[in-house]
Formats: sequence, C-alpha cells, structure tokens
Amino acid sequence: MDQKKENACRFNQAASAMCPRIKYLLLQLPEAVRAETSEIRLRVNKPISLWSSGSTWFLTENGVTLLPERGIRAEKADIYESFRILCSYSVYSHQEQICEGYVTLHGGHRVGLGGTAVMHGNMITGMKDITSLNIRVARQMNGCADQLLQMVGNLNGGLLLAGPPASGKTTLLRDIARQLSSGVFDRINKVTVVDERGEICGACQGEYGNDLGPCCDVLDGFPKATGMLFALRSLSPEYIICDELGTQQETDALVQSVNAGTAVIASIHAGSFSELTARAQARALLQSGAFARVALLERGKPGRVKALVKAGDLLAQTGGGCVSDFCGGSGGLSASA
Amino acid sequence: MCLIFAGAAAGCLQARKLRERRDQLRAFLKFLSEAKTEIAFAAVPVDEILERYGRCLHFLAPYFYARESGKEFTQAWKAAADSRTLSPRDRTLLRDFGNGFGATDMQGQQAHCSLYEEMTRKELEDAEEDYRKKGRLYRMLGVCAGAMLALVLI
Repeated sequence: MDQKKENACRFNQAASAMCPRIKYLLLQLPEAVRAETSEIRLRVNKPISLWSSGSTWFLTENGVTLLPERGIRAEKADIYESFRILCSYSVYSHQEQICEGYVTLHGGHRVGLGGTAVMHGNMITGMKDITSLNIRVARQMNGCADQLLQMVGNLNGGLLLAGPPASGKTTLLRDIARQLSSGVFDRINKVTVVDERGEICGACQGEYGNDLGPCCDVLDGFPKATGMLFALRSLSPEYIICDELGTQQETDALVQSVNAGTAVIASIHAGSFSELTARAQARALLQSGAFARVALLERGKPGRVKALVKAGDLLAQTGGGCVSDFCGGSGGLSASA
Repeated sequence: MCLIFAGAAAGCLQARKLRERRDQLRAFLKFLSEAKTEIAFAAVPVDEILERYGRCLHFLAPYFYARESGKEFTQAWKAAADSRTLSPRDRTLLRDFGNGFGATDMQGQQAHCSLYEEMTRKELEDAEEDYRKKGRLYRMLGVCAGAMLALVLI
C-alpha cells in the first residue's frame, strides 16, 4: 500500500471514532484530503476544522472550504456522542487518561479534550461538559527517520528529539524503533518502547496498531519512570524509546538506564534550543549524560531535522548564558555531530 | 372440550407473560450487580460487560443484532429499549439506564448502577405480586371463559 493510501486509511480509522453524522462526512472526503489531514478539530457550535500541511480547512457537506462561515458546525450533542464513542461508551475505563486531558484510540490516534475540570481538592478527578475534541491522526511513515539516522550515525550514546507540537516527534520515534528492531539501520537490536500514552505502538486489547519491527517489546500504559526501570530489570533492552520526558522521576530513572548500558531515545517539547535549555528539567535531562546528541525538529513533515548538536556543547553554551544563539536556523550548530 | 382447552391455553399464555417479565427483571437485576462489580474492579468496557452477562437477557436480543450489523451503542440500545415486547414502564427503565450506562466516571457508574438496581428491585416486587395475584386469575379466567363459550354454543 502506498503512503497516500496508508495515510487515508489511518484518517478513516481516526474518523470512525466520530458520531455517525460527522463520521459520514469525513469518510466522504477525497483521498488526497484524507491523506494530508493530520488533525480533526470539533468545538461546540463552531465549524469542524481539519489541519492539513500547515493550513486549516473547514468541513462542508460536499468537501472542505477555507471559509469558516461555510463550514458545518459541531453541535453539543455531536461532541457528546463522539466523546462516548471514542471512549468505547465506557468513560470510566479511560478515567486516568481523561484526567490528563486526552484519550488514545486504537492505532495510536490521540484525542485531546477541552472542557470543565472536575476537582477534588487540588486534584483533577475528571472532566465534564466536553466542549472540544482534537483528533490527531497518528501515522506510520516508514523511512521518515532515514535523514536523522544518517546524520547521527551511532545511537549508542542516546538521542533526545526536541520539537514543537505537531513536529512529528512520535512518528519519528516510531520509525526509529522499527528501524532499530528490524535491522534496517545497522544490525537487529533489542528495543523496548515505554509507551505511557499508547501512541507509539497504538496498542488495543493486546494488539499493536503500528509496526515496530520484530525485536521490539512494548510496555503499554506504563508510567515512563516505572517502565524504564521495569524494562531494565526484565527485558534487557539495548535501546529504550519513550515519548515526552519531563518529570524528576523520569530523569532519575533515566540516570539508572544510562548507568546500566542501555541507550535512551526520547522526545521533549521545545520550539528551539533556547527554549529547551531554559527549562530546568530539560537541563537536568541533558546533564544526566543519557543523551549524547540533541536533534531539533521542524514543524510540518515528520523527520525534518532543523539542527543536530552534541548535548555537551549545548550545555557548555548555556553555561555561558548565550542560549539565544541556539534559536532556529540551520546554521551554526546544525548537523554538528 | 376444545373450547375449554383453548380458553385455558389463552389464560396460561397471559400468565406466562407475567412470569417471563418477573424472570427477566430478576436477570436484569443480576446483570446490574455484575456490571457494577466489573466496572469497580476491572473497569471493563460496556461492550464486554454486555457480551459476558447480557446474552441471557432476551429483551437485549435487538441490541446484539444491531451491534452485529454495525450500529453504534446508542442506536443499538434504543432498538432494544423500543421493543414492543416490553411494557411501557420497562421500556422507560431500560432506555434511561442505557442513556447513562458508561457515560460517566467510575463513581458515577457505581451510583448509576445502584440507582437502577433499586428501581429494578421495585419493578421486580410489583412483577412478583402481579404474577402471584394475576397469574392464577388469568388461568382460571381462561378455563371459565372457554367453558362459558362452550355452554353458549351448546
């Protein structure tokens, strides 16, 4: 199946979690539109929008338009029904994810939720009156990590992928896992994916929605810190792959992984190197020694590397207080591995 | 004799309807209790609960049929709750239960199931009372009506 058809199929899979009225319209869209769309957004009484290659389109009875006033509006009932469908009519079985503001669908598609928080003391215990849904279509883009892997050459020292939202970090991690575990890149390696949100493997009832190669173990739903230690104890991986690091616990677990001879490949949110190093937690990650290199990704097509630097260089420059030099651009630091 | 038997059969049929309602309400009460346990201890999704424990509930047959033909849960449940074989009160009970089943968090579902357990228990008491009182009455009436008709015709 070519990439376009594959992407359209994944769009269909994500659109199937919508209420029948909206699902019908989404599935009627031309294949080209379905293949390009990376987000479907529903907001109460607002036109249904599709985010595709940097532009926003609005859903109509006959296709899509650029004019919001012509778009079909999502009713409150549509959103409520869609919310129930994407929870498989069992909201309680997704309670923990809902408290974190999302629900993951079969295939790894993540649905971000907007609504009113239900608080118990200082804790969010749920979400009510759902007012918006953002369905992010997860794609498997085999080969999207080629450029990065060629630039890095050797992943033994660990790699941190930094990028803004929708820069394809998870898609890239998925392809790195596949290439490492299937021997496409180098030899066949033992890989463990710690997939807290179920986005990398797209697991559902014990089956993977995405191809992560023949030698990849998945710890689905495990908190990253626990999962990393669990993997070290019982799965003896050569590489541990996980998404969106950030907490102190995760940094501590990371230090243990590094000292156990396992390379870690992970992602983190940051629009530039200066944004990355401005965060204490991100600096702690770099100082842990778990990552020899840091790749900064560009928003848009997954796998587009804006810059690649040595973590040590990044820390040294930050120590000098001149982080603004790291912003954007591919000059200076790019591909300096 | 045929007329007497026919009358008795009609009476038994009516009495059987009352007994079936009682039995189905008992089964639904058991289902609610099982659903509550599955939700509390394993967060088992609604579809799986229905698959495991709902197959013995005859009035849910339209639900399973609709699900197997690709209908969403809401539409499928509506098909079962709108069934003409149920009394209007049971239809309302089933429809309202379905509207909230799976729609809230764990605590909400516990409360939802408990509420409907209570309501079903009340309906069951009424159904048992109906069967006790009216069951015998229908059978007697059937025989008597058959005998009367036979006498008139003779």
